Amino acid sequence: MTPPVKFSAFLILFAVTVAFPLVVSLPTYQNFAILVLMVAQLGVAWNILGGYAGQVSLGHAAFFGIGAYTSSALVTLAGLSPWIGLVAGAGMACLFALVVGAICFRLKGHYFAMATIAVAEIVQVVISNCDPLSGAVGIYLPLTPRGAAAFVFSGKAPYYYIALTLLAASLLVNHLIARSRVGYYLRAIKDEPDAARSLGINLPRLKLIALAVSSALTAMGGTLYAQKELFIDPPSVLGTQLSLKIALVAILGGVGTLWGPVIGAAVLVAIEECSRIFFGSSGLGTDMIVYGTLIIVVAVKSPSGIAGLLRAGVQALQARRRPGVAAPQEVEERA
Amino acid sequence: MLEIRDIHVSYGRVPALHGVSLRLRSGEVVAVVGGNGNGKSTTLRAVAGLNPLDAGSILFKGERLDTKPAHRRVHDGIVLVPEGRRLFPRLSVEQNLLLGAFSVKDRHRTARTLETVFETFPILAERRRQSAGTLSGGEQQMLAIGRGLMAEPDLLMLDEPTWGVAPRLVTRILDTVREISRRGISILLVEQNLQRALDIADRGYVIQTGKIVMEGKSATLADDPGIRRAYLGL
Repeated sequence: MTPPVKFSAFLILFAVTVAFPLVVSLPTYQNFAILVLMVAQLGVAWNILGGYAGQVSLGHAAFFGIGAYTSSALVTLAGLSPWIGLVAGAGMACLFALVVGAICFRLKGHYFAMATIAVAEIVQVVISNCDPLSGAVGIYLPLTPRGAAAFVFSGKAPYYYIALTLLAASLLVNHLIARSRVGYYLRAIKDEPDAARSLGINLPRLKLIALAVSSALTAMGGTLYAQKELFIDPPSVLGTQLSLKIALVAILGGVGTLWGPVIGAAVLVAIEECSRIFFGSSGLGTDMIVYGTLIIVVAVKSPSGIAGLLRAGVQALQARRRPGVAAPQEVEERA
Repeated sequence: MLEIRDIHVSYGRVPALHGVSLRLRSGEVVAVVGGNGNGKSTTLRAVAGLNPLDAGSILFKGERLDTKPAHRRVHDGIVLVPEGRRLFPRLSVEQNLLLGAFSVKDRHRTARTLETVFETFPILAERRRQSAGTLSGGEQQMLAIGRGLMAEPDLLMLDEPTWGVAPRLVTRILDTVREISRRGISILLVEQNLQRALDIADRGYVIQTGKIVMEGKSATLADDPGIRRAYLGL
């Protein structure tokens, strides 16, 4: 795509997403859109570590949970605003990530991924047994007061806009990293770790930066989830399924691409919601079967994900529109 | 400048080097020659910090090197141009070169070094926007050496710089290596092509099954009947 086309597409997308809750007022659809935005944001955050630095984490629920629990605990125990909790949760996740990273980055490839699963499980077990955080029972957040300051709203639209802002911020961070020196270094680490080391690139430090940024953004998603649902417990915010979901949206959509996780999230949430509507509780796991099949198809046919397939499609279209081969609409214009 | 003292390196339980010692003086070109799988690359990787030592020590400019992580060694002035080039194929030629300047914080200096690299390898300047994966074998090797020079090393280690390079370019690349050494950069060169390596080196070491079996001035080694029989088939 040429820059003007890209910019126009971006403007249209921006207008559509901003106008969505104003046009579509049905809570079901608004909720669906919020879910897409939230899952997309988590995928985008994961992508900084998994996509650019090539460090596949299957334990990102730990950071999500830390974000959710930090803000919720600050609300219920200290009476602090969830907005403070949002920042504090990101900070906590960052600190935790630095400790975990310093240990887990000693492992490579699959071993790193396995270690991250273990870390998330440990966090889940610890929090499930932590009485001040209500253990396995979970935390109910107060329904009142409502309003922007309390991060509690009656309608869905405010949550939609907060999720959209968070996603936009995550995309911006992702974009800035991808274009910065750090982005190049991260891709160098992913492609040729030994060559990167022999050039003096400080691998541990860069991986830690990627993990810290990724975990902070993931934790912010956790706070948003807690405030939207007003209830959290260890399985919902720290479960392995959530970790897998976060990684899979990015992998399905396109690892290391800016928009891949957004596309992956739209597909995943659609499958989840459809299976819920059509099969109800009797179809538990149907979404995972469909999703698993999709992952296999994408892995075999287009390892760069749906984003890669789309890019190939656009390139094929552009090739057809080269001089000498008139596209249908050009023929119409001439006629 | 570089002193390797009786180093032992293994891959898991398989020993690769047992007691390699080697010295390189400032400004020298030293070649390490030997057949495949004898430990040439492992020696360079150990100096670069990519393979940990089981025993022995490495000194650089009089300081212990083997206790430092790989990235610190580049700051100290040691750069490895790895075997098989190991470029970043999706990045452009220029981006690959700039990645080489990770350890240099001064952007103006990096810009000047980039120009020097382009003067050394004019083909890279022509192809600066092209992705590295689309270059020919010889051009890729030039890019790998150029990327190594971007860190402004005092010691450049080249692992098989003529591997997979068209014969007409082999001489060019080795001549350039000689020219780089004239700028005051010491070179530690690993080559299977013994004759060519000894042509440009001041001194050479012959390594066999993880041990140095012979060392000496290049001319002496090249004339040694044992070496000629073993490596040149003469």
